[in-house]
Amino acid sequence: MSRLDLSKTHFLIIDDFGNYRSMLRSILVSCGAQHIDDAANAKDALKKVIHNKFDVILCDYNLGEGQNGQQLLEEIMHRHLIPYGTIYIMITAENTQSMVMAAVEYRPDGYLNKPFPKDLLLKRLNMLVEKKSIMKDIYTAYNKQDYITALKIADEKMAKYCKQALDIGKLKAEIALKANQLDIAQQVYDQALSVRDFQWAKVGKAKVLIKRKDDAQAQVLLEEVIEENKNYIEAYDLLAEILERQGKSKQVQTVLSQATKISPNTIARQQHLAQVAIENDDFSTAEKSLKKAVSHGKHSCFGKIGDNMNLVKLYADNGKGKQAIQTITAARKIYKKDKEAQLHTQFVESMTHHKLGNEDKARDIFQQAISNISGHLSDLPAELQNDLIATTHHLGETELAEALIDDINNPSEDKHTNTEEMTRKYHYLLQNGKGMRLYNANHIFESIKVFEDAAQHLPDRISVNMNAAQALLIYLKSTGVDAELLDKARHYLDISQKLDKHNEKYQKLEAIYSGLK
Amino acid sequence: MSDINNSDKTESSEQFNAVLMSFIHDIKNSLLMSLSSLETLYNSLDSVKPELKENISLIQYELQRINNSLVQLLSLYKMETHLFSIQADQYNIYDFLEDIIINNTLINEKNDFSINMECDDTIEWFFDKDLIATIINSTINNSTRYAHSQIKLSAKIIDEYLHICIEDDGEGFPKKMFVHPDTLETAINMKSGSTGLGLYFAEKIANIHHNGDKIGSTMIDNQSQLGGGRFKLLLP
Repeated sequence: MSRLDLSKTHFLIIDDFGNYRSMLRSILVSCGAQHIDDAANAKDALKKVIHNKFDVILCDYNLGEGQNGQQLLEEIMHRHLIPYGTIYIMITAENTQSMVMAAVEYRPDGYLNKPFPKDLLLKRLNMLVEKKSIMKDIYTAYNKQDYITALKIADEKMAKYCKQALDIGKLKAEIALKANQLDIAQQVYDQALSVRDFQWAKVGKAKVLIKRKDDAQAQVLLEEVIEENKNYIEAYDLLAEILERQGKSKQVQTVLSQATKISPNTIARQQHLAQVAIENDDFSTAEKSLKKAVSHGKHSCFGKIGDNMNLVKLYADNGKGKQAIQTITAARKIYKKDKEAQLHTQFVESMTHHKLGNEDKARDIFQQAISNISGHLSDLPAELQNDLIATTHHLGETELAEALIDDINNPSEDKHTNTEEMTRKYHYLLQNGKGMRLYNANHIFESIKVFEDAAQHLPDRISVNMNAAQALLIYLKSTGVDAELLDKARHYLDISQKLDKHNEKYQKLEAIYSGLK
Repeated sequence: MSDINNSDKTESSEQFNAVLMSFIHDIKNSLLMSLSSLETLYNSLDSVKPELKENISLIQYELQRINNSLVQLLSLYKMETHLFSIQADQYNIYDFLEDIIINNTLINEKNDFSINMECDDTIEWFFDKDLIATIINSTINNSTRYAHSQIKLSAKIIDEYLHICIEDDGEGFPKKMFVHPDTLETAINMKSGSTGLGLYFAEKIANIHHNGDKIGSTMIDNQSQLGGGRFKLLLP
């Protein structure tokens, strides 16, 4: 079987503890290694991983400030920064291993408990090289989403390599689940369960049952697993999923709270808990979990501006203006190089001021933000789109909201117009909104000018043209007929007629016009 | 009010837990530096005088004893505070025991001293690897203190239990040790130092290994094939 030629192997040691780095280096040298690089923190390690190819990465779980070993691994895997063949070994203090292992989606190839002698390191490396070379073809097919081939190879390998049969079996079931080959997956899990009460097999079987829409049976299995092993985090997530389908949001919150207590670092789970807590009107839990999501997000590739913004919205909805503004300021700093994130903070800031009653400020910021949109709306992240629409609605800009939704939903049309034209359109729709506010506040005369400005620039929007006509007609009705203004009204009515002569409002306006003539 | 007090208490015990963890982590870091430096030192000596070899073995023995005690202490603390679950999975026993022997390499190379292994390489069994390794490590560690020249580590399946035996050729356990350490108090009252605590820990850990109705257990006797003490760990 393939063994590692250490003299040709490229190692990367990641540890914040300088003495330990040099010691590990000397151990590797004494084993014959010639190519050894090291990094003192995750940031440094990430740079090295991007620019060099390593065969073996030895990473300590505790890395001091910044990302820990697990977060670093997640980022490396998530961004596909290392090829399949690279071996990633996590070095842990004995007592953290179970904690680390139960909590994660991305796992390293192996763990080593401190302290370990060099022979153990060598043995582990050789075993992993062997295992990787056996599993390689399965993964290649799996990653190409060629599930049929992957399953076929898995069967062949299982028959050939007894010692790795269990690992191959687990992978086979995982592939079968992905491929929706539920019978195959269930067979693997049932077979394992006939040997022993394997927790992984119970959780796997629960997944099959969920796919078969048998939530009740799945729930029984998952509760059993949690009873046996409080740290089996995946079981909590699946259970929460089932309870959510049953609409039991209080129970969902309980399950997710337990899970986040065991594994507080998973951002997605904190987001989920916050969302459920908001549904349950539990401000303090929502605040706590969003704060955790934000603080972990700073060091993780899964951190999102959206979590920061959700925290802002939570504060704003609960009248906590000061915290809301502080959170916005902090988010701007974290995402200072991210244009979309900056845009996102502007909309949420506007929404916040609106909720706090600072109407003028809200509109100022909103107008600025709208003019800062660059590129096409359909390309923006969904969370930003949602907050953009929500803010627009909050400010009562219904016309603009409709136009924005159209542009988000019709990317093809949107792409023909250039950005400048688009922001111009939004600008005049905002004018239209301003006109409506004046009109509704009974400043009819003042509204005419604003509506006309909007209508002249948006000749193909019937609602804007009708608004201009309406303001003119209502003004004339109260002050008496003025020929020049009546002509203007006629002009906007003509445009409206061309756009849609069956429009109900248009026909009503024509009636008023006839009355004035 | 009482609710608030309670939650304060949980929070402060959580804080204490975090402090404890970070202290132990720190101590373990120092230990591992010492152990690794010791290995480097040992390997850098071309021909080692027998007395020196024995001294190095002694240092390794003491350092590992501290390490084992820390791990046991932490696990017991977690058990008492219900922060504890076992992480059982299936492992190849030969591989598992071989790892343990490698981990005790220096002791293994002590003058005229050998740790042998007897195990079929096809046995797969189901247990918490870290916890069981801690038990075996501290038992081996303890045996090296009393054995003359040999320790045997063996494993086989008898009546649906995995029997792991650690035997030595020393004088055997004193009679007073044959009391089953049911509680922490009796374990400490045995006045046998860390051995009593170690046996209590081993029994506790064995007991939380279940398979259907069967539960794990430990026993000690002086029936070693080598003539000394024998520690047996039965896992269902």
